[in-house]
Formats: sequence, structure tokens, C-alpha cells
Amino acid sequence: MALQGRIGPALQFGTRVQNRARARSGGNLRRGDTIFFDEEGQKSKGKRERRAAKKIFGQLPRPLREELSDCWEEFEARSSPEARLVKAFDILIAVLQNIAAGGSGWRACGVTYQKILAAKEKRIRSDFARVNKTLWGVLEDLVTEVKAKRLVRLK
Amino acid sequence: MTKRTRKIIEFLKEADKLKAVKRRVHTSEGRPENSAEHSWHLALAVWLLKDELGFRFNTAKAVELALVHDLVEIYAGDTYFFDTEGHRDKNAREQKALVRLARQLPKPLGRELRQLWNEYETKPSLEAGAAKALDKILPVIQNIISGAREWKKGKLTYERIVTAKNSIWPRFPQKRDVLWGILEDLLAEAKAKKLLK
Repeated sequence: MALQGRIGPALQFGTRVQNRARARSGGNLRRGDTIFFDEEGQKSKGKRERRAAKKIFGQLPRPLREELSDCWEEFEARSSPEARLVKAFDILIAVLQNIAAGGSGWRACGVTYQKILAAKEKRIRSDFARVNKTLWGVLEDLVTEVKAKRLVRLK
Repeated sequence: MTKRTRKIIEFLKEADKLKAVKRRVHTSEGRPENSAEHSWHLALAVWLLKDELGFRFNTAKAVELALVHDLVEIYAGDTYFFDTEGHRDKNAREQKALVRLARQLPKPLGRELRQLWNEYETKPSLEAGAAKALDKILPVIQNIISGAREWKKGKLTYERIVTAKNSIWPRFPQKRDVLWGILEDLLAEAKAKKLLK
């Protein structure tokens, strides 16, 4: 919310973005978090999360059930500007968190700078492609900071 | 990124410290809950209950209030509800913390943060009322899902909790409303489960 206004006017802020941000963790509750660099885990992530989302949202009364479920689906499919924005922040916050923690989370999983760069180009660029350029700039600066502070091995 | 954006990013790093502020209540996992987790839970609660409370309110505003309502604890710490000593200087500590937090944000945002926090603390708006009442209800839920460790330690009774919650209950159009009913139902549940005398 603090970056509201910095990233362009076309988005419906307030509840829509907030709802996406909250519903996105609904799938995590039942299937556990899958670290970004866990390639094996990423393969089955969609299936596991879909099952989990059904289970957790199914516990709510109608029409809340549909509302949360739709929110989550929208986020997963990145089918709106709000969903794409939240996804971009989702990635950004993870990088920020790792920097703030001195890179220990990455090192524990054997993440190298090279892996981060590869992921940035192959998987992250597309998520940022239709989001305002400011956020991509922030991400690039943060990744540069990772290298400058030598938080992970280069290769 | 611009200097302004950098300032906000640095603030987000600072805000991480809210995750280190431990509360007295426990999670269902059996460990102390932290204030960031509590704030998320409150944001979720005001959003999910938006159509249940018998009055219309601005959900986005209420969610914003929930997100910022405990940020001052980064510097002021959490003050346990039944800690009378700590409550004496709570406001002074929190005001100081608020100024310190707001200073780290670019100007209009810092002002917005102060306004939101002040609204939560002092204004009888529906949004603040909904968020505040749910803030008082959530610890009851936490106690129920974690075996009421905190209540048992303090030898708290149903009557004492009702009296205490009543004394800090936000002013609403109606004094006894849906939110108070939720609190009573939860306390009755706790009593039935023998978590509370």
C-alpha cells in the first residue's frame, strides 16, 4: 500500500489489490509454501494448491466462498492488472526479505547469483512485463544490491 | 529507483521488525503469535465479515487501519491487555513511535500513516469501530485455538474478560451490536470447552 501512487493510476487500489494479496496465500495454508527455486516442487505446485484452495475456501459460507476462490483464481491466472501487480510485489517482497535477512534464506537452499539472474530473465520478466516499469526498476536495483553486498555465491 | 521509492523500500525493511514483536497469545502451532501475523489476521477478519456486521463500511479503509494499527509496536512493543502498569504510559510510547515511523516515509505517506493510526485510536468511525472490535475479538479466537494458555496463567474468568472488553469496546451506533454478540458467543464457546471459568 505504501507504494500506491508510485506505480501508475490505471489500477483499482483499495480492496481489489488487497483482496488479491490476501487470497494469494489461501492455497499456501493447506499445501505448504513452495520455495521459488525448488524446481521439483514447482512442478506439482499448481495441482497441490488447487486442491488446497478448494478445501480452505470451501469452509466459508456462500457467496464468500466464490469471492475468495475467484480472487485466488484471478491471481493464479494473472488475469487482471491487480493480479499482475500483486504477483510483482510478491516477488519483490521475497527479494527484499532475503536482502534484509542477509541472504541466509537463499544460501540455505543453495541459491547463487547466477540462479537469481536466470530466474529473473526466464520466470520473473514475464510477470513484470505488463506491470508498470517502476517496479521492474526496483527489482533490478535490488538484484544489483544482492551482488554488491555479496549475499550469495556468484556461481 | 527514485530516492522516494528507495525510502519506501527501506521502510518496508524496517516494517519487517513487526514480525519480531511477540504477543502474549499463542498460535494453533503452540508458539507466541507475532504482531505482523495478528495484523494480517485482523485485515482478513474485517474483510471477511464485511457483510455480517449490520452496517455498511469502507472495507478498503478498514483493511488499511488493520494493516497499520500495530506498526508502532516496532518501537513501543506490545502492551498486554491485562497489564495495567504498561497501559499507563502506552499512549506516550506509541505516539513517540508513530512520529519515528512516519519520519521514515516520504512526506504525504508519513502523514497518511499518522492519520490512519490516529483514526484507529481516536475516531469513532465505523471502519475504526469494526477494526477495533475485531482486534478485541481475535485474542479470544487465538486462545480458543491454542488451549487458552494465557488465560489459564492469568486465572481469567468469563466475567472478568467481559468486564474488561466492555470497558474498551468501541463506540458504535448501537452499543450492543453484532460484534459484541460474536464476542459473547466465542466466550461461551470457550467456557463450554472448559478453557475459561
